[in-house]
Amino acid sequence: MREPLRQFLADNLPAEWRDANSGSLDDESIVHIRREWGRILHRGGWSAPTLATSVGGLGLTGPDLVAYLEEVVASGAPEVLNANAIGILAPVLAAFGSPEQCDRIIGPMLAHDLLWCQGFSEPDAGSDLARIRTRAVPVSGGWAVSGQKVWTSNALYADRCYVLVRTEAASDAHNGLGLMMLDMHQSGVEVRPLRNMAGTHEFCEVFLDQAFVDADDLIGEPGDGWRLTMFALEQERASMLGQRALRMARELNGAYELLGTAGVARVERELGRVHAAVRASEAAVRRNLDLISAGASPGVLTPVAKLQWSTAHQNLYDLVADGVGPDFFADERSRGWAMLMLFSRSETIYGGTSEIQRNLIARSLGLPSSR
Amino acid sequence: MTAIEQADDRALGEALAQALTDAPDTFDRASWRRLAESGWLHMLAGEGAEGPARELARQRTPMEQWGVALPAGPVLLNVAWLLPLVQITAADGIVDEVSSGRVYTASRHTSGATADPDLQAEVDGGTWRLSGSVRLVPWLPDADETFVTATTSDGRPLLAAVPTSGPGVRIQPSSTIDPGISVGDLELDQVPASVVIDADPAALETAAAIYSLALDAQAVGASGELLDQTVRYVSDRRQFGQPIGSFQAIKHRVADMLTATESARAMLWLAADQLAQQPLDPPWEEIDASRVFAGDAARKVAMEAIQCFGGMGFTWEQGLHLYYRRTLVAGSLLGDVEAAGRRLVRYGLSTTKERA
Repeated sequence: MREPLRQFLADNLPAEWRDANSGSLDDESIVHIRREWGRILHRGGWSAPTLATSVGGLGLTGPDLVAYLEEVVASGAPEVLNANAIGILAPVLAAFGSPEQCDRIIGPMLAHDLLWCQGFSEPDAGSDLARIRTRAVPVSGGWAVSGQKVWTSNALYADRCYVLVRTEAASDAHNGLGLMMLDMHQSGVEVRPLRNMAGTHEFCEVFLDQAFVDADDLIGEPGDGWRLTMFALEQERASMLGQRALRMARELNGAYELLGTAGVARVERELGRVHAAVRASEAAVRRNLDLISAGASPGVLTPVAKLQWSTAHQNLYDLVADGVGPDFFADERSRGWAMLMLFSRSETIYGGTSEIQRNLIARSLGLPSSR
Repeated sequence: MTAIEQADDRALGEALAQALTDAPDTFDRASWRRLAESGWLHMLAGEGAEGPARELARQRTPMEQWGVALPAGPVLLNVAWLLPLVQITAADGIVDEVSSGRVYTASRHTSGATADPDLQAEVDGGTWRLSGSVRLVPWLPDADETFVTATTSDGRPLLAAVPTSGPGVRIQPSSTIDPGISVGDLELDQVPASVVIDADPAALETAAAIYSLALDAQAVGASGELLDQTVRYVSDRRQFGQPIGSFQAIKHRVADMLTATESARAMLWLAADQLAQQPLDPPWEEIDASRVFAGDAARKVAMEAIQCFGGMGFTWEQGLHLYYRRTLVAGSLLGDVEAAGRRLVRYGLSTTKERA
């Protein structure tokens, strides 16, 4: 499988898209590249590596999945624009959705005919996601959804949103929640991009004012929302880490090139440790992939891997900046790196903050909750 | 590992834990002989030249167990360097000596597959005679013989064992802050080698790799044990009306201890699995990455454990300091973390030159 994939990537990935990231390109270009790449990958039969074959994915596990990730990372290919939905919503539909939903939704998602965003967090409900207040009121034929979502990546370009809502008026916390799929192109939906600290705009606020959701676009039953969301968040952690940890190992090579002999000498003592931490982060993720392919759940090793990767990645940028010295923030050549360094601050925040990861790990060790 | 291999691994780990209960903190001849006679020093023998690397990758739990029990004396040096080297080079004579309780140690350069810089060897009527000095030989005061690597007059390395007492031998014994690790400086004046091992560089590299990974297993085992003790303590100890483990400040330290331990464990066994697949060509980047990460992780976990135990952590009786001492000494004297880090950096730079 490795050879055909490598050949496909060599033949179909335009050179100027290699290692394209928000460090060096504007928002619109990035979105365009990631969407087009999503189309190309799908047409070539190479999208959705971990999604079940029954719903159009490649169903890869074990050494095949690792080989896939290694080849994609080595090619410098960008993440496809629908990566979030493919990694999270598609498995939720496969596990909890109806056959009709799977047929209708997954194909256009993989093909990048329809673009997706995720509506989970709200201004008053981030780490404490159960506190969401976006309300879905039953109306004829479906639901009317009102509320506000935040940190919604790529909402500006999205056609659809999978959104966590409260389906029961008097419910509290984990009860009475539902997971729905919303059409973004309707009058009750307003999207406002947010500027992040790195200066780009993928994050958005989404204001919902009686936006209509068809009854067929509720996943599972009203009240299933928390269970489905927990499943979704587990998928998110597992799917995000594979490529990112391997990509970090590739970045390490790039770091040595940028530093050169002089830069390396400046930070040698710490660089050995950062180098080791990058390889250990990769080892932790590989082990989790092995466990998943053996049908076992990595359990506590999932938050361990996320915490380890995000910390090591931030440390890598810190060290490269120190090693390169004053030119790092001024020179065009390292501008991309400096931007990625700014971006990396979000890595200990998204996908569950490091503090939440530590709480999860502690709970898994049996430590009592704080009260 | 298959399910059967996993079950074997666990059972072996428990058996070793049993064997090491009441192992003394400081070196003791009678205990050493009992350990030697038990056969545990031969645990990595396996079959043929590739046996030891394969056995290392298979015996995860027992190898980590050496870090839980902290036995005194050159245990891992025999388990993971000398006896694997003997197996790889088929230098069988030494095996019986070890089993009967003879204590062998090795200089740091020797267990790292390099030559001792101030040691020469000349052949005299069929006997090799060694002269010069070697600093900081671990366990020298406890050993009957020590392996060193001298340089011959035509510039070749000679791996040989010399007695630690007798004509021409002077040792300056010392201790380290770890009660199980003594150290000494060695001076030799025309001392005849009692054993010479004719080993090619690949064999020496493989033995050095297995030893480095064994030190990592010790580090990971120690980290895991400290984590277990800490979880129990912070779950029981109450202040301000609740177990101190319910406070986030403590919870988060413990979570960091687990993260470091499990990441080190993943790196170690990934490196060991790779070595098992290519035993005669050790994957040095992975092995050095493992040394740095496991060595650092063990040190940090020990520091955090002491912190979580509060005042009790600082007492002699609690015993956490024994692990802290072991990680400090093992990470510098036995498997130098700083040196491994420098090698990693050289490796990283070399990959850029290749592409350029």
